[in-house]
Amino acid sequence: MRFLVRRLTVLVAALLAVSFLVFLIPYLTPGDPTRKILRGRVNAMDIDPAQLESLRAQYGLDRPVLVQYADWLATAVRGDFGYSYTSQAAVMPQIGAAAMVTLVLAVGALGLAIAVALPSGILAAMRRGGPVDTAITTVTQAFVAVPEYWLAPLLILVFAVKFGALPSAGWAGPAWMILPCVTLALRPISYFTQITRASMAEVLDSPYIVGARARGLGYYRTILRHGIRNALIPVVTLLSVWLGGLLGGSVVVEVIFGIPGMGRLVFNAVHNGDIPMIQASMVTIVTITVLLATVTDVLYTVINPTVRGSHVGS
Amino acid sequence: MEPLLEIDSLTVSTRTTSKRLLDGVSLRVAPGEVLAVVGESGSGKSLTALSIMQMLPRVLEMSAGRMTLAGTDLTSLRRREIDTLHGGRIGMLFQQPRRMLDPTATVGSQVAEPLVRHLRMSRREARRRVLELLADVGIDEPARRAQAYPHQLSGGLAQRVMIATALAASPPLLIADEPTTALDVTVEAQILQLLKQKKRELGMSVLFISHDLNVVSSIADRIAVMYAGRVVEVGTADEILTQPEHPYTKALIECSTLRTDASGQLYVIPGGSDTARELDHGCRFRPRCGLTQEAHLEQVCDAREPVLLSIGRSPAEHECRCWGTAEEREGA
Repeated sequence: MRFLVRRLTVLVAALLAVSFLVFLIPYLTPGDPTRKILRGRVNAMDIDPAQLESLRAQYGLDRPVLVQYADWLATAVRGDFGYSYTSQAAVMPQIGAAAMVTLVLAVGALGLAIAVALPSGILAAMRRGGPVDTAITTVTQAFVAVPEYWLAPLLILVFAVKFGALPSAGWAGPAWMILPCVTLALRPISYFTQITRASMAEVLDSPYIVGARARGLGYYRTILRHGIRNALIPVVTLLSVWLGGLLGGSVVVEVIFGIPGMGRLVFNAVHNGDIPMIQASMVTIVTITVLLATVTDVLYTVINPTVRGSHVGS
Repeated sequence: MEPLLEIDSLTVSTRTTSKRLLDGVSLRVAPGEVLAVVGESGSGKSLTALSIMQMLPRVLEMSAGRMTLAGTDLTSLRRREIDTLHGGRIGMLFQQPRRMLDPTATVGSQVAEPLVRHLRMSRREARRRVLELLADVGIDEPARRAQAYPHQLSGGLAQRVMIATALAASPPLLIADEPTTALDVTVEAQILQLLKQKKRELGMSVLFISHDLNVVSSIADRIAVMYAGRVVEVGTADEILTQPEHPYTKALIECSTLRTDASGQLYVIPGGSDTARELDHGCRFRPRCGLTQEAHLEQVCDAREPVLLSIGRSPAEHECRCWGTAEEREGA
């Protein structure tokens, strides 16, 4: 319980610090935001200075930055991040919808990665130095070198254009998930396989594996009961890092496959100088990442009892 | 009496270089007997244990010899039969008990494994039996300890847990590989006491591996002294401790008394057992042996490796591998 309270305090403090940075960053980028907004709406070379002034006052951009921050934070803690400069609609519902899409995509990609990487990593470790190990290691290492902007069009060409088996772009159902998930999964497959192999290999050399075999468990039962669980500990860490990364949205994959997720949303917001949208998406992404780290820590104590605080006797 | 465990000319070598780490080791353990195997690090004690368990590391192979347990040939067992051997017919204790337990599983669940595997108990029966087993090895509050994780146990408690696990299926043989070496002296005495008590109750045989003659003297019926992968002297505990014949055994006993010489130095056997590694002829102990010069045996000891000769009153009661002691006897 005390552990949880401490974690939550750190979490809130971290979010507060991040919110300030997130608020400032759009102001540190070059270009007058008011001018950008106006240019987005008025199709004219010359901008009317009066119009500029009134717009600036309307959005409160003429006030000192700290006042603006306090004002923004006061409404932001209630979940209100204002209105998009471009669409003039509230930003949060748009971010919510995009985040859901990205979440589905990320979970799909990582699920696929885990489903491939865990068995291959474990198998490679069990056959260390043999041909199976070499094959798995070589292939998955090669995956790291495959860029998404190359793989995505290739998959579209083969599966959508040539065979017509899968949709090429859009987001309308499970079939639309397959190609983007495969594209996104390739690099995590590589990293997860390698870390699973390394960690499993270390576990297999541990004394407690000898201990379990001396109790008569046999090779495979020992691996199942005492090997895999221990080998998973570093994999969980990597998983949370990747999930955090993928939840920010993949710009390349979402743009190529025309997926309305976080990546495309942020990309467009930056492109249009849509400050409230940028700020709100950043806060969302950071919040999710920090929450994930907390969840990982808690999950850790579940699979690895040695990091639990309590000691029973001496 | 028909021996329970019989090892005959066991030879273990590295697969790649065929270097012999164990060379013609022969040992016998009678039912209900405690045979202690002593020697310094690298003498091949633990390797002997792993060979019996059919758990040699992949880089090593058993290149010669026979091993039988109650008449069963251990070297020709199939994988499944080896699994029933482990914990079912041979229980094993290790030097680092805590490290031999899975850190992510509760103590109770691990003690239960041999019960489910070898005695075909249901999970529920096993859970109940675990508490009895833990209480039997002198663990207070067995219910609470069963829920604990290995890192929450002290070394002594962990070794008690290991004893409960190793004996759960009442195997006829217990191999104890330096079971008290990593423990405090007081805890060591308690664990030895417990082992002796368990031996009395269950009537099992024990292969007790140790480098410490003081520990061994309190538990062993017979003692085998190993040096550089060979048995150099074997006999009843009494004979070995009171009338050692081999210069190495004598030196070990001298070391274990912790007596100091005139200058206040503890007795040390000069050199290390690695000096034996380079020798391909003659006696392995020769570079560290005082007897060689003393008895003018340089040529003999250098030329041929001594054989294990019976020197006891009755055959196989006391055997020693030394030209010096053989000479002495012939001369007498």
